[in-house]
Amino acid sequence: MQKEKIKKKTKRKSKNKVWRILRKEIVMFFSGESLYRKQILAWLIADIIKVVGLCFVWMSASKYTSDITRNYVVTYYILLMLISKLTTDRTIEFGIGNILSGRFSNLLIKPFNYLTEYLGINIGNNIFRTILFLPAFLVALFLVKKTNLWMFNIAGFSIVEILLIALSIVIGFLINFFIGNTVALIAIFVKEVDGIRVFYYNIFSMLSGEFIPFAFLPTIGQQVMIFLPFRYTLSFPIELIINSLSIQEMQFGFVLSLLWLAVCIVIYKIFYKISLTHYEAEGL
Amino acid sequence: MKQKVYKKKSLYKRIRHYLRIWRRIVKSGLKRSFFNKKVFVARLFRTAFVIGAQLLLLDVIFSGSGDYVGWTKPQTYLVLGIWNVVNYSCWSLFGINFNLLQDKVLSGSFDYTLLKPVSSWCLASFGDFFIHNLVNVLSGFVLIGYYIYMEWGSISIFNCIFLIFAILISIVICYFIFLFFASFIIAEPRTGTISISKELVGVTKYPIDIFGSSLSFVFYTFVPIGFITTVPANLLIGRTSYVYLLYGLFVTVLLGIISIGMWNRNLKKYCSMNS
Repeated sequence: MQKEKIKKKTKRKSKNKVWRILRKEIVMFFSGESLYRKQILAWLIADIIKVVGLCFVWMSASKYTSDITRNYVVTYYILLMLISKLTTDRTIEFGIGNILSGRFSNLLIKPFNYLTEYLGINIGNNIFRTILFLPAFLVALFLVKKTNLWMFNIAGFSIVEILLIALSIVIGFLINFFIGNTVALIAIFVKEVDGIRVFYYNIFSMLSGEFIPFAFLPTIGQQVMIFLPFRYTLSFPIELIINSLSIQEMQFGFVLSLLWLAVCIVIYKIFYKISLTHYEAEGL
Repeated sequence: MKQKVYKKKSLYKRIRHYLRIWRRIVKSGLKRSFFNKKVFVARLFRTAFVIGAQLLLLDVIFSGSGDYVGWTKPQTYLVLGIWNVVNYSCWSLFGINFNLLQDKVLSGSFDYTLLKPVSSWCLASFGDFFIHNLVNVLSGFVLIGYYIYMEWGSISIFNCIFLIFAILISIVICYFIFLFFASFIIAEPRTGTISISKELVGVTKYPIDIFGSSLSFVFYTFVPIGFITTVPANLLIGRTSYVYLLYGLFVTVLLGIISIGMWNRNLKKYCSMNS
């Protein structure tokens, strides 16, 4: 009985510890990044240029299709900018650097899982970028509403719908996070990972719905995308917000995204174990 | 008179000197790439994927109609082909060097660039050569070749010559856009301005006409990205007069003066760190 009590206590303590580390990482990221606000601003401008470009491409394309309207395209891309800020994973950027420079060894000997630190950095980054993006988002919303290009009423959502959207964003972020961590581990085997990193970004932007919105894809393309994990990191939450899914599609989407999350975690764990046996702690 | 002859000789010698340096850089870049064969194979896969993605995008765009803002499918292949040639040539020649500039400034190794007896903007941008990106240029030639094959009867030799000149001009325009934004890194690292130039060049993957007349005007004047793909494509198609080529040349010179001026201005603000 007492043993069980002690076990429960230590479990609670370790949970609190993880939460404390996570919070510290987020705060540290905030204070670190707030020194380089100009960099974040430049990234935001670059993001806006990219998305506005894609928006124009698909707005022009929507003239020739009867099922997709200009309003849908504009709403989709404005929401894409917001959701991508929340589901982005930056592990590939710094995780690869940590392995190549040897800093990864320091993370391994710490008394907590290094993923906690990475998670903190990513959550900090996403919150920071979302806060900086909000003024631009509100301006875009105002302009689009004035020109009657906005598609849905934000106030029309029920609490359950809001919770489901939030859940899809969290799942999307976690899928991204575990894929990112798995790809970053490749740096243990291959030292010139730049090509692989860019290749991953290409695949991601192509299959997540950033490059081609889900609605524009032909039926075969849509069926392929549904069964791949990338859709659930970006396109699926947007489709939920726009309300373009039936209840069955929604249920199927959630089941599949959760399944993909579990698969990503398992793949990461297996790959992590294999990678550690090959890790030579070079670069120190 | 004598002085004039001396000046001419000096310029010729300088160009030869720079070309000799660049030849050495290319040689060392090539040696390094042969060393990393795995990366080379990965790049080939990436090239195949990128072309597949680009073609799928065009296929989806053209699924509703045979015309897209006044461009036919082979014509958009041509635009995409020119973009692949220009964009990946830029990454091979100077893009990655500009990307690495921030690390050089932060680590203090940019000081060595300044110490060398060559122009700082030249060495900072052409200091290394990356053959891997040049592989992707081949995809561009394939797409341009496809357009020429499809429209063989309507293309004159002059159009082809104009296209070559226009592509050269667009590479120089891209270079000055990159140089302009990269110069801010010297004055203040971690400003992330290079990402803006990347996205500006990225937008030219599609014909500029999609942006409507008012934005198109901006892209042919203040932000001259219209000259990167749309003008060369129009010159080959025969929709634009060669006067646009001269106008492009004028814009390039103007952009060059602005970019080099900005580089020199920001260089004055550079403070050496970490060295």
